[in-house]
Amino acid sequence: MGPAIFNGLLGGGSLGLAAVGVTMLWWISGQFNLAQAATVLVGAYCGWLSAGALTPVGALFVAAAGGGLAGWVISAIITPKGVAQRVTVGLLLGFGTGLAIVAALQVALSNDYRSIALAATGTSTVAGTGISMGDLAGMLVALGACVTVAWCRDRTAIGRVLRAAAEDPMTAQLAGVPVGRMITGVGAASGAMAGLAGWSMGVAGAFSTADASRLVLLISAVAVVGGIGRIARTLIAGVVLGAVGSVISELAQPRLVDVPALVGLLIALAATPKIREANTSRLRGRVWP
Amino acid sequence: MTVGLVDQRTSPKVGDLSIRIAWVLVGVGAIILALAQPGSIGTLFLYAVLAQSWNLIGGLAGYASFGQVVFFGIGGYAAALAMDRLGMSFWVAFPFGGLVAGSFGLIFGDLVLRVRGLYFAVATIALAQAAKTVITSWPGLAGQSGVLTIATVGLHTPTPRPSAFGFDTLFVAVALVATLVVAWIGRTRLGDALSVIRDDEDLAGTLGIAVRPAKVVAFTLSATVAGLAGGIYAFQVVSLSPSALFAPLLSVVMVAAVIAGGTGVLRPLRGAVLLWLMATGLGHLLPPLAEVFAGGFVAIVIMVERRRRAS
Repeated sequence: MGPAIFNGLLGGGSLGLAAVGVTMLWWISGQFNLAQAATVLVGAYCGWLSAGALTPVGALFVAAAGGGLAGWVISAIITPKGVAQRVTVGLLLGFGTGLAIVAALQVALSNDYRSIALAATGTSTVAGTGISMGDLAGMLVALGACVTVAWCRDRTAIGRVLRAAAEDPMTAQLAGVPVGRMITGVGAASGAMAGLAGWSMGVAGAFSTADASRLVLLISAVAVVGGIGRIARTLIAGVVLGAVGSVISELAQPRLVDVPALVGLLIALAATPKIREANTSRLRGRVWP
Repeated sequence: MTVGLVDQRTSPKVGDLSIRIAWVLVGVGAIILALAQPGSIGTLFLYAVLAQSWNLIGGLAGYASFGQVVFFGIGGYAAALAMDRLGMSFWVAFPFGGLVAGSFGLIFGDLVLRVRGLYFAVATIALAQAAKTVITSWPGLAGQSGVLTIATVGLHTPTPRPSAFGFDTLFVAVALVATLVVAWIGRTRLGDALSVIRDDEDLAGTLGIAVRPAKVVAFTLSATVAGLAGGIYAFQVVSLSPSALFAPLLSVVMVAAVIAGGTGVLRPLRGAVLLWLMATGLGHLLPPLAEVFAGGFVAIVIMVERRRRAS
């Protein structure tokens, strides 16, 4: 069971990374991106397509760029300028856009399972536990990306501007902050994180467009369980749910791998009063300058 | 106006001639397609039932559910299992499917309608995925990976299978019933309550409206309607699989028909006609692109409407 826990912890990192992207866009725009799973798949396919021509590490940058481009387009679609938009409208837009992207990927590349081969494959033993090199690479990428994002948000000048735009967009706009560009910028960063998560999934195992609907659920569940808007907690939620899912699939049957995410989501929705109350402040949407 | 874009008051205005002409063209196209492919009329009315099902919760109550397809699937499997295991007649099994879906709607509705907006949407997505996982992982419930086939020949056949025309007639009947239910709700206090909830839920609570019971009733009716359609569909396709009965495309059809057509009593039906025209017409030309069209269509319609309202 040790390897299952360890590899689950590592594999959950990529899930957490994609959910952090969702949480970042929610933080600045108040819109929840249901197309993030589609962006993860865009990144994974970009990595897979370029892995043959480039090294797997080079493919990582292509995956991030592909995901970033998709994230930029999606954020432009789901976050309006100049009008108040309810969260549900953004959800509908993300849902439709995500389905169209996944269906287009399926038409172009089929729904066969693919994976990105690393130069260093197989398992390595650390403290008596076999660790998948793909999972380890994925976790390192996830951790690095999350630390970078958190550092940029909290410690840099651009982070201060982003925080101002997130806190009060109207005032920030009056103070000369280009709020619209900030939102699409965060959307692109969020997409790049999803692209990296896709690359991580590709090197850790296999991916297919058939996974899209469960990815939508897993990413949304991790974002909600992590307390939307919190980077560290979201990553931890992804890692923990990944580990528990891995153990359950090892002990019971692989099809039950998503059960912890469902149970975690249920508990978060039922037991956290903050979640129930949080709706009222953002339900009506924001008016962007 | 929670969903905003699906409110009937934001639908095409009387003076908007170009949109009216476009709807007339859609109607003409639908008649031509119906004459050219009479076998696809059942699909049109299946879409109409699904649209009215989503209209009950998404349009009237303003709760955007992304997992309403789960009740279509539950109704389908319940009817198929009743026929396969209990030897129930189809004429009893498909209303039974609707009843089972409605019961699940009552239970789930009471749980998921405690949250709103984003959290409600995520909860309904989780519901759909959970139902799919249960059906594929429970070996005693259905066959391998949730695949179940209803016997249509031999001594143990519970009911002779209706003809294609018979199935079409059934879908027409259920679409009619669903439309009458929507019309009836609009004339009752429940309809008034849902209208206030859709516009401002907090205000509805302040006015003394029993908010949660009203929402749960709408959710249960929506689930029952979807379950009835699922029960008929199950016997039509004979061989069921989770990927067919819980298909994301069906969720999109539900949502897109109401967004394109608008809410109210008859508007979702014209949305269903448009979706059917697209799915059957374009899907016939380029079958793999049907989902791309459907997904993109939802996004484009909302963006156009958003721009129109902003200007």
